[in-house]
Amino acid sequence: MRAWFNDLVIGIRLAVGGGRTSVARLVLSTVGIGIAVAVLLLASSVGPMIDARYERAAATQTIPEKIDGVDPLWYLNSGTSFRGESISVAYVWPTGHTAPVPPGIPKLPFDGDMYVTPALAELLAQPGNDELRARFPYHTAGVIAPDAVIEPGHARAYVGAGPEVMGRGERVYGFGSGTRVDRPLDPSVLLLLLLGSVALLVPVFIFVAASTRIAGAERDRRLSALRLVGADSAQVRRIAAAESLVSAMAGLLFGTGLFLAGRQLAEGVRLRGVSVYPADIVPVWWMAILIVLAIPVLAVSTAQFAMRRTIIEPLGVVRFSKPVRRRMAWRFATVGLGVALLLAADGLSSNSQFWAYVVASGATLVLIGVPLLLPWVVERTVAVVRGGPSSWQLAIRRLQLDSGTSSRVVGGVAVVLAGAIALQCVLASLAVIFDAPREFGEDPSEASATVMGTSEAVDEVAEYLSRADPAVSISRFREAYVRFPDGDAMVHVRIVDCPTIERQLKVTDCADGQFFVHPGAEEPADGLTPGRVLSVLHYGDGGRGPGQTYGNWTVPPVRRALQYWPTSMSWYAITTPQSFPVVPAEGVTAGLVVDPVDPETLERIRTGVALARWDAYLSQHMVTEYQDPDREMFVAARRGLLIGSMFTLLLAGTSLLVLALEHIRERRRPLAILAASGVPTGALARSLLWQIAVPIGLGMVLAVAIGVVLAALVMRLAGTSTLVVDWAWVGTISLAAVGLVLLVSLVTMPFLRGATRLSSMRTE
Amino acid sequence: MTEPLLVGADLRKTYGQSAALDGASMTVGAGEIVAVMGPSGSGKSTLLHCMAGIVAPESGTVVYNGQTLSTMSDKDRSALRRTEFGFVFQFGQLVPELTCLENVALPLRLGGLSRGKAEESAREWLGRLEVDGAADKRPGEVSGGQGQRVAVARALVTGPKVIFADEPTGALDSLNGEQVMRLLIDTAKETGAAIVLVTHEPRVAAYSDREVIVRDGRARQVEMVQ
Repeated sequence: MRAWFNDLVIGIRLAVGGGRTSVARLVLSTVGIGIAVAVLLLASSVGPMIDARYERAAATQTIPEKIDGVDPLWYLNSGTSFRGESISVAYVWPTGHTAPVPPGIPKLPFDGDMYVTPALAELLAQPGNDELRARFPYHTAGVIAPDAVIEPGHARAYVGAGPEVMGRGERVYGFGSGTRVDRPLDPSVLLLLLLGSVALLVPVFIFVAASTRIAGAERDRRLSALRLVGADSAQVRRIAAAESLVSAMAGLLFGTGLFLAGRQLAEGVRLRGVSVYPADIVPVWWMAILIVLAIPVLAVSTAQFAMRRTIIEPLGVVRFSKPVRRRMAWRFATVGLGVALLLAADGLSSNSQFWAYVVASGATLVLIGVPLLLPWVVERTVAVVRGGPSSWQLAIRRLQLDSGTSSRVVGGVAVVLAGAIALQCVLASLAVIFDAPREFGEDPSEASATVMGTSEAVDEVAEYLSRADPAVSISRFREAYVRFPDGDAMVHVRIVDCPTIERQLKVTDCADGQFFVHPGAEEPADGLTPGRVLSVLHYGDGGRGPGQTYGNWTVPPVRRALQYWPTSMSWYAITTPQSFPVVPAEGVTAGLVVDPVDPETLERIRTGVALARWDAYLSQHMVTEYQDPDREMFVAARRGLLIGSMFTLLLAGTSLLVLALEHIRERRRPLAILAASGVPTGALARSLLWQIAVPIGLGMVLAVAIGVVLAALVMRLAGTSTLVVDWAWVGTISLAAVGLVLLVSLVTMPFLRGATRLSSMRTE
Repeated sequence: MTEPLLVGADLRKTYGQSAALDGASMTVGAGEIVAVMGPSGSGKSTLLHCMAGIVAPESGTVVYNGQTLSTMSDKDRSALRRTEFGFVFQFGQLVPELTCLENVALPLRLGGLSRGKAEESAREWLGRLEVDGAADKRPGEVSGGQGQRVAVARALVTGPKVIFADEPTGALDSLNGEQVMRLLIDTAKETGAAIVLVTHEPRVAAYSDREVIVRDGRARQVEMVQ
């Protein structure tokens, strides 16, 4: 037992106490493993983060069902936006003293008072936000408690209103319905999430494994020296295990620290509009335990696995033999199994989650194939390379002797690339299917602002705007629902004059008797055939009451499907007033089209709308609202994947740097000898550059090939032949990889200069 | 010649296509100093490695104190190296991460001795070899001569019966080489340890009781006439 203890102590001693060299080695592997741990902890916190958001969102959900003994609260949700920041506003009016109080505030605001979230309070307090302050001419009674606000960046206000809310909002009897709808994920979205997780997490494990193998040659020499003085092979394994355990534990501690420190900074960070509370970033407990156990186990087992061919003998470093030929069968078998799973998934229903898991498993195996095959590809390629300048030759000779370590680390980068390319292709292809937002309408000069509300509200806003901003052009419109005679299917019809239609839809020959539909119009809008007679519905109670048939609409004789169509209006049919019967002003949504608008005019209009009519709202055509939860999920998935990719690429860069620095450190003596014998430092630097660039170049080729093939297979399985490969994006990410190599090489230059000093030739 | 302690008989070993040992034999008696000489590439280091049980010959046997090394387990052979044998090589035998004191204490600690006792013993040996000032330095921080003395101290700390020295002064100047050899020989004689000394320098071989000449993988034993 004492001998075991001694062995472990020796291993720890070797890892930590060896002066600058071993401290440098320890720091490098600690940083590598630490970042991986932080990424894993963050990944394991995503579930709780989403749950916490849902819980807070559920707590603010209104309960419209009548509760005996509770006076209803009239509650009207509205909102505005300020320089791209969405602000939601709830106007509340209690009908009695037992009316429910929204969570996070001590009592209901009086008429003219408001409670705001910390984010909105900050926005309102900022200098230069007069336009925003003008929209909230209320007294701030207090701040909404953060535990009742979905996210730190959420700008929201509860405004105390008067009886005018009655009939416009909803009657609320409580908050926190507590019903969280756990709808099963759409298989396509699930597949996307699974693929993303695989693409992001596989490299993390590869980097952990690679980190424990840096300075392998030095470790072999050390262990050989131990064998010489009588350590048996089991002892050497224990010592090596203890040694790698130290960097794993240090990495674990560093990673946990990094995670905790990053967590504290999370509140101030907004990534693509999403912010989180530090308290929400809590890993799932069993995943955290798994990470704490898996990292040391992975580090130790990788170190042991790395030693399987290195029979550490007392003279292990005295005699070098030709590298053992790689066993390729299992590597090809892994990729083959992945492809087989993908092919097998073809026979399954793509509507089941099982299908998504099978495809994701297949894709995982194919992606794992990248680091498995890359060392072989690099080895075979450099074996046949001849000639070139001296720096190239030095690099190639070095790679011929040992390309394993660089290939392993680059393999991690290549997985990120392959995964990212596959994901990008799948996302781009799915974007076509989901009709996700495109670049349409992002030019403000092309955009129109639309004010929506009751006819009365719209009239007031129009009057206000013509007084306040006489230069803007205003056109009115109305909207109505029409119902098909043979069922419940309804179509939303916008009735607007020809000049506005021509401006918004970019047509030149609008005339009465025409109606316009989206080119991809599906049922029921697709059923609008000329001459068909449909019922016009009238909704009372501010558009929320039961529909009553008001009259009939005969579909005009000319149907036009247009290419140019604002995405936010894709479910509309548009026609002219003359082609539509008169509908009552009350209960019909009306609107104004104000265009064109620049961002500042838009803010003025918003302020005007807020001041003129608090129950009117404004939207821009370039803003696309996703009503379909799958679309929302799709957007959220894409956002998450992009954020995750950034972290993984950071890890890739760090690992490359670790590799390059370790390479210089381990080869100090040969580098110093080369420098002493007259090889210019520039040639040595270029040689180092090639040593990273060659594997990464080959890795990129492999990654692009596997990424595109994988995406093609997945999209074929998803039942679509639409494969969109964004070559510009592929080129960009490839350039980013090249940039990463150059940056890493640049950072290593001072270390290379240090290593090539003649004093480096003196070693023990 | 004294009673053989270590006997190598008909040893054969090839590296790739070339035969490093081609039926070499040698014996070492207790307390005897044997110099193994020969030109570069003759197989003298391989012979030493085979005799020490750190390289297994393809054929032939090495018997130490009645035990055949090739039939011993790795664990037993390692224990033998730790307790009965000591090693002084030209390069690389010291662990650069450990201090000189820790390097000397290493075989004792691998044998399960507590750190305190192991380092106490190591400090004593460093003193005997006149390098106690290097105790807390790492091998990279001391001179070549000091480093070899530390290596000698480490070879002797377990009280070995045989010390294997492969070109122990090869990297030293003549003065330092002389001092190291003198300390090695004197201390070995003091403790009764035998020495197998691989060298190509006649000056170093002159310390031995007997010479074994290795040429083309075959060994020829030569008795020294002092």
